[in-house]
Amino acid sequence: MHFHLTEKQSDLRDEFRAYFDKLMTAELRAELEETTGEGGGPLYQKAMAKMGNDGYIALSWPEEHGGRNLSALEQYMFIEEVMRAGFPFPFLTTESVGPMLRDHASDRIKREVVPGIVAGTCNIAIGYSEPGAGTDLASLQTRAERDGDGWVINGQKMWTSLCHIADYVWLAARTDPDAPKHKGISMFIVPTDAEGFSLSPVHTLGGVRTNATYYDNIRVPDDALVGELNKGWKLITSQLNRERLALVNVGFFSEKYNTLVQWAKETSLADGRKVIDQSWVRTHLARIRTGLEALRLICYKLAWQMDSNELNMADASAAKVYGTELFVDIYRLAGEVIGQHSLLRRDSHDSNLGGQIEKLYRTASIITFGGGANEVQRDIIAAAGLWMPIGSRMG
Amino acid sequence: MRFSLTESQAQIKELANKILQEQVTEQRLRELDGRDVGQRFDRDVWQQLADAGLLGIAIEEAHGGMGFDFFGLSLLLEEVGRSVAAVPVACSLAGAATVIQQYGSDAQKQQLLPAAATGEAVLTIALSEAMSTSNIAPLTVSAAADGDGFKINGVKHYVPYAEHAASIVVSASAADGGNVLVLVDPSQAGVTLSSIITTNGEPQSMLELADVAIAADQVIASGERADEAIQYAVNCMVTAYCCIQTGASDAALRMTAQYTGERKQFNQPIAAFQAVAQRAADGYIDVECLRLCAQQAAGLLSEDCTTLEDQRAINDAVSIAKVWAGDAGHRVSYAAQHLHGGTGVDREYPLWRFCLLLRQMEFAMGCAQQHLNDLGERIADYSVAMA
Repeated sequence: MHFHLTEKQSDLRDEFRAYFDKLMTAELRAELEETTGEGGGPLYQKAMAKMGNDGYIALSWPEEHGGRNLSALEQYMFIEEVMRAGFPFPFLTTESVGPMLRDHASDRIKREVVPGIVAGTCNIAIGYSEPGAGTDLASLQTRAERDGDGWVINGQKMWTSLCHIADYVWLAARTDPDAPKHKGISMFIVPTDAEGFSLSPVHTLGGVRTNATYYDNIRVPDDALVGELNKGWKLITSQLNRERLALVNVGFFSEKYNTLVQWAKETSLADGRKVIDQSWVRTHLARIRTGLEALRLICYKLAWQMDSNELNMADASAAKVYGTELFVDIYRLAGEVIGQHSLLRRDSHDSNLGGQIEKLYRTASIITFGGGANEVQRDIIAAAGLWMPIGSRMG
Repeated sequence: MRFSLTESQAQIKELANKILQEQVTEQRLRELDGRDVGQRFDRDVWQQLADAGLLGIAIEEAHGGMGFDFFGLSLLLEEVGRSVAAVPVACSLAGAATVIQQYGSDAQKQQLLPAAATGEAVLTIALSEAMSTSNIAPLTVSAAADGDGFKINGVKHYVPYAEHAASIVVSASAADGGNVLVLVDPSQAGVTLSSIITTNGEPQSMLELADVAIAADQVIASGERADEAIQYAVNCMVTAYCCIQTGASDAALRMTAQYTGERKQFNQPIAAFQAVAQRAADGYIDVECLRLCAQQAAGLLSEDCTTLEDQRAINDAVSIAKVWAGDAGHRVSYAAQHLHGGTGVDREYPLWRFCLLLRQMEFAMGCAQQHLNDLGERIADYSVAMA
């Protein structure tokens, strides 16, 4: 056991931190706030292209594909710094979809799409969920049917985030309706300018825009199929552990914790004491720190396990459950420390640090069910971590 | 960052596990349960651990030990928790022996460490005082200068295995506002030990000190060095309890997983009910958080601590681990009891002993709220930023 970064890892962290310090200009921050943090504006696109140009997008990829071959732990550190900086890096595209296209797509897709991902010029939205297929994703109904030498796609997807700025949708469709539900799904790459594609915006509690997307007799050539026919489920699940790890990255709150402590020390109460002079505030801060420390260790352990091929599925699910529920808890604790100012929106008159908490509180509602509902994760923990016979829900 | 044991660490863990799982049987535990107050000490298992060299894990080879570090000892402590063995590994080796090794004189080391490693001498440490909110600041017990040594007076409490101990490490406040850390021989004039009855039956005593004469060669540390030594001893004891808690909560949880997989109601194993599985899964997460925080504390205590920053990082890591030991221990214990139903409270079934140990370790050396309070005070004072 060793609980420190190596010198190389520590240097890497410094490098990432310095890079994002420079990348995150005041103008970019202002644009990101306007676009409620999810990116997509012109400065965001410019920053992505710059990162591509500087070789910072596909760091975990092999060198022959423009990457630096970072280990899972180093890649985790990268995402930690991205999140600490507050840059809405599309890690699902670069860490999940990108590698699947790179390894399993047709030559044409590899040629036309993959270089754009590495360059930061190509955006890809994920088309998994449907109105009737959420937690039970494998029950999805969007169809892709053989038609001559291509495919015709019909159906509807839900929560297709960033699709309004995306060039492609990474789409899961049913290709064999007679097979068991996990064995009749295939993956396609569908251009958003295809005839028959449309979308409508969905505005969420957190202010983040997402989309419903519609696929009306969209024709794609045979080489839009990625991986083997009817083997799509395996592709979808192959990157889940990495996705879960990215979702609960401690970098999302570690810097905010530092800011909160500083704020509590500097800010005066009406009676002249500082905020931190209240003993319950100190205990709240300690509670946040205690929770984050466990999350930090869980995430590093998981990344380390990925690198040493010792990943336990229960541990990935435990990280997802613990991290997402911790975030919900600590946003509340942080809100209590700040007081009623944590109800003021960031663009309000007299807004302070509480504006960030107000926003975090609203956006946090999605994390406990998004990325695999926590009940399902707990079932996985009970089955894979404690060998409990958990009934028929996993079928 | 590395989250695996080295080969020799893995061997230690395996050896400790084998001895304790084989020797600490239900029959032996029942025999211990029937003993008088203060006699719940399993000397046979103690001797077997000694014979295997395990009591000397963290004692230097020069003093008859194996020369591993505190982390090595933490592996044994976790197995002690997993087996609910009634042995004084925490107070004798993690508490007293480590602080003597780190801060004691050569003569003290030669006198006490080899006997601690062979198990011949049980050592203990008296840091806690009744109604005190701090482990590091002795208030009730004071030391007045007396020739080359001190005269100490006052009352220490909850002293583990004191009636079995050859020597007791005692912290006291000095007249100059500082502290001292000394060795008390329980047979010395002015020492009175009174057994107390604890929730899990661990032998503990109240230690009254009336004008007890401490010669110069009984002083482990005084002045600033004493503050350091007391802080170190507190960190070691707290971390030791966190490691015991890890093993005990893991065992209680796995017992629960197995039981709910076998117990049938409504024609199916109760583990198949999602409400049951989910509560057990929460226990899994709790145990994992506790284990990682406890291991980190034990790992940091094994490193050379040279800077103020290092010291602060260790203090924080230890407090964080104890908060988890308290919270996770409590939650796992009650979930295990609840999911077992009546079986969990039946003394014919082993779970109850784990629950009482979990309760003991939750409160010993400061409960979760006290450690949160301490951590909060330090955050307000100097706040180590998160990297």
